[in-house]
Order: sequence, then structure tokens, then C-alpha cells
Amino acid sequence: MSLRKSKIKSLTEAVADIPDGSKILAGGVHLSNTPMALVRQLIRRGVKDLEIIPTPATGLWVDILIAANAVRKIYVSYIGLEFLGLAPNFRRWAEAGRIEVVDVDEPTIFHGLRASASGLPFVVFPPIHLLTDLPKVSPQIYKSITDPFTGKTVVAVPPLQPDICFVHVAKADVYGNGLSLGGRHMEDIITKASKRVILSAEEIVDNAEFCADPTRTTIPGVLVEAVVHAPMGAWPGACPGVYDYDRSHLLEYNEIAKKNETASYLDRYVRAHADDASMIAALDGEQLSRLRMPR
Amino acid sequence: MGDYTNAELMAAAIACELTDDDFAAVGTASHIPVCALRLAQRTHAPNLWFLYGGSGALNSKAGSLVEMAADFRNLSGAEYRTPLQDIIDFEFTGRFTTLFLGGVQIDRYGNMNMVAIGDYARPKMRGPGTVGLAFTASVRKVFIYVQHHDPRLFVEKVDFVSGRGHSGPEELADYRCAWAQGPTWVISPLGVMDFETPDRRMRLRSVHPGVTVADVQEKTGFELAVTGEVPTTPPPTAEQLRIIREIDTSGVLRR
Repeated sequence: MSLRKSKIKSLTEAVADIPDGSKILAGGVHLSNTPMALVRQLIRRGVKDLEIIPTPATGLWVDILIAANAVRKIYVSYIGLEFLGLAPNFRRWAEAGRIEVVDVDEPTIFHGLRASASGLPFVVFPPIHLLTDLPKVSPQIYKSITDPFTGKTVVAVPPLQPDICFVHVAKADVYGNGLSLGGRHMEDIITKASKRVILSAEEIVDNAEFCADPTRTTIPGVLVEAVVHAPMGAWPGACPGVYDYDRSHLLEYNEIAKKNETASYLDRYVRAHADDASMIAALDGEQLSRLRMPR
Repeated sequence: MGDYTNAELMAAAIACELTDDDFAAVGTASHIPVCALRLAQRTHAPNLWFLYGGSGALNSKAGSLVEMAADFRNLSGAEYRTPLQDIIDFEFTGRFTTLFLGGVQIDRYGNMNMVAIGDYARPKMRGPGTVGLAFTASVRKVFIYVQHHDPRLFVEKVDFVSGRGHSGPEELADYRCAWAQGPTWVISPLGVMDFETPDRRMRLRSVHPGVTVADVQEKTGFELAVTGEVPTTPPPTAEQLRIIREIDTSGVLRR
């Protein structure tokens, strides 16, 4: 009898074969559960020309990748820093025409991913987008068609399929089962929609923990290619149920980014370290422990 | 101003417009609307439900108002954690009665822009994106909520339509869901506006205490409709203020 295979990889191994030009999605909503360790490792590798398919409301990871000159094209529903306001690098590069922006919105990204996840050729909406300027600026996405059942005008949007998706969770096992303590947002959809799924987790737990309460599993390991143990892997964002977002660091990032000095930030927090573990170890441990939530 | 802040006044004013059968939703930067929703629940609208943005919390009873809508601590005391699929379903099907939305530009018909100021290809200001503003045409009502009031925000005509107000060619009306009433109210730090005019232009409904009609007009980039004497937004009652401060334990509305 052969043994069940572990999917554990190091951070470096997990992103080693992601080619330039890949379509990338990193999970999470706003500053919660964003897989920052995996994103930082992509920057260390110097990956270029990425096509970003973000979740409908996010920003930090995209802003950092843009500043690292890693992005060629981006689909936009909401790219911002939540309570901190606009994402400075996204704003600057979009205003200068240095990245290709495809304006879409929340239902277009969600249902585009769902179409890919479910194998649907496209998705049809009631024609609410025809009341906006989105079809004018993104005609390749919004196609008016006739509803074959009612004869009315409806709008078709295409599937969106990331090559790679990163998801960060509080707990995972070696087989790729994942548990988000903040509950399900759309991880079930994005993991099904993407060709390859790389999971990072704060903690690797025994498979028995998942089997003891399978109703709490948020990602089934069958969809996952690799699992990375990445403590503080969502920092400086939050990992719900494990630690809070690092407010003072985010303020620092925002100020640096607004001054167009993100390159120095990347040198200090990303490129100066071979991987994320050494970067996290170099941070103020007391400050990090203040972010942790009571178990 | 009396013993309340402008933010507390705005929360009380929003609460006044909410009804017992509302199912509302808020997005980012929503301290004031969330306080209003919880105030309404604890006064005249005990059957109101609300979704607290990216946290997914339905009927959050978080111990304080936090700065991030997606903060998972908003799940504290909530009755359900709404996945995005449900949120989008509620938006398309009109289950949400009231959506709180804003913009980087808003015009006299309540058109909202979240995408770009200036030329789209090379914008003067690139906004965060349309997010859920297209749902203006599928939720029942939209409450436009903004934290400042100046002529760059309230403009004659938006440069990009993310959410459609009460203008545009007649045939566009067919694309709106039958139940959708579009933007219904606007609240800013200066006053409350509505669209209760024959051609659905923005009308000054009330001015906040200490603000004149001329003040609001001066800070607005188009002519506001005025019908008769414009009343003053009622200040929060002592009872409302007591409840507001029980909800806002960290005092974010008093800063």
C-alpha cells in the first residue's frame, strides 16, 4: 500500500515555477486573509507582466505588486486600502497609463469566476450594467444579447480563469484542507475557478482536526496543489481569529506609497530577506504579539 | 453646536429615514450609517436587518464602531456570516431595500462615479472602481452618503457613470429592475438632500443646524432645487444620543 502524499512545500518552492505573464488571483476581502507571504515571495522572484484578477474588494497586495513592476494588466472592481482610502500605486500607475486597466465590478468578477468554477460558457445578467459606462469602456466584457426565453435584452459576461490562486487560512493540513476562522467569503468559488491553487496557513494541523468537524472546513484539499506554512502570512493585514491588522505599519506603507517611495519599502521589507520567515523574524516581536487575538 | 457632533447628528438623521421593514447594506467607511442602522433597530425599527460590508455580518452587535467594515470582529453578536454569493444575490434580486453608496463625483440627478475624474484613458484622478454601484438599478433604494461636501464632489455632470441616477434616455428605464427606485436620499456633513422634484433633480431637504441654504448651495457645483422654507435637520434627541453612545463606545463619531 502506498502512502497518501503530503502537499507541503516551502514558500520558495511553492512560487518557483509561476511564469511571467500568469493570471493571478490572491484571495481575501480587503485587509483580511490576504496571502501576503506568497505575494512577497513572487516579488522576491522578480516575476513580471502579471495579469491580476482580484477579488471584488481588495487592494494592498495589488498595490505592492504594481510598485514592484510586476503587473501588466488588472481587472478592477475595487482597488483601495479600505479605511486608508485610495491605493497610491494603483492610482499613480493607472493615471499615468502604465498598466492596462479593465474596469468591471463586483458581480462581474464574482460571476466571471463562478462561470469558470462551474464550467459555464458565460453568465447572463439582467441589463443593469447598460445603465453604467462599464460596457462603453470594457466592451470585451459586456455583451448585450437577447434572452431566448423572453426576447428581452440581457448582458453576457465571460468566465474569468486565473492560472494561479493564492489563499491564506488560519489552519490547514498537509493534504490541503483549509479552515478560515472568518468564515467563507468566496474561497470556494476562486479555488474551483483557478487552474492551480496554492494555500498558505498560519498553522499546519493534523488531518484528524478536519475529520473531527468536516462542516467547518472552508476549502477541500482536493482543489489544492500545494500547502505552505506561513506564520504571519497575511501581515500587515489581518488573519481573522488569529491576529489583527497592523495599523501602524499600514499607515507607514500608505505614507511611503503616497510619496512614491514604495521601492525603498520593498527593499526593506521584501527584497532584503530571502524569504518571509526571516522578514517576520526581523520585525518588532512585541508589536506583532500585540496584534494576536486571544485563542 | 450643542452637546453632539456633526457625525452623531448625521447618524440620527439617517436613522429617521430608515423603516422597520428595511434590509440595508453598507460598504467601506461606514461608521455613521452603521450607527444609524443600529440606532433605528433600537428605536423605531426593531425588525430592520443590515449587512455590515466585507465582514459579512448580518445584524452585527459589535462592541464598538470599527474603522474597517471588513473587520471580522463585526461578526460579534451577528446572526449570520453572509458569503459574497448571498450578498450579490440580495443585490440583484432587490432583497436589499437600502444600499448605502457614495462616489468621487455625484451629480444633480444622483449619478455616481467611482472610476475616474477627467478623461477615462488618462484620468486626473483614478478612483477605486465601480464595486457594487451598478446595483443602484436593482436594489430598492439607494442612500448616498458622503463625508464631505464641495463642488468637486457635487458636480454638474459625472465624468463616468458607475451608478445611474435619475437621468438618461427614456429607453434606459427599461434596464432598471421594476422595483428599483434609484437614489432616494443624499446625506452630507451640510444637509440632507432628496430627489422629490418633478424632473428628479436633487433637492435640499434640510440643512444641518448652523448651516444655511446659501452655504450648501455655495459648496455644490450645480443648482439645488429648493421648495419653500428649508427645515433644519432635527438634532438627535437625548434618548437617541444615549443609544448612539452605547453603540459607539470608542467615540469614533465624537472625534
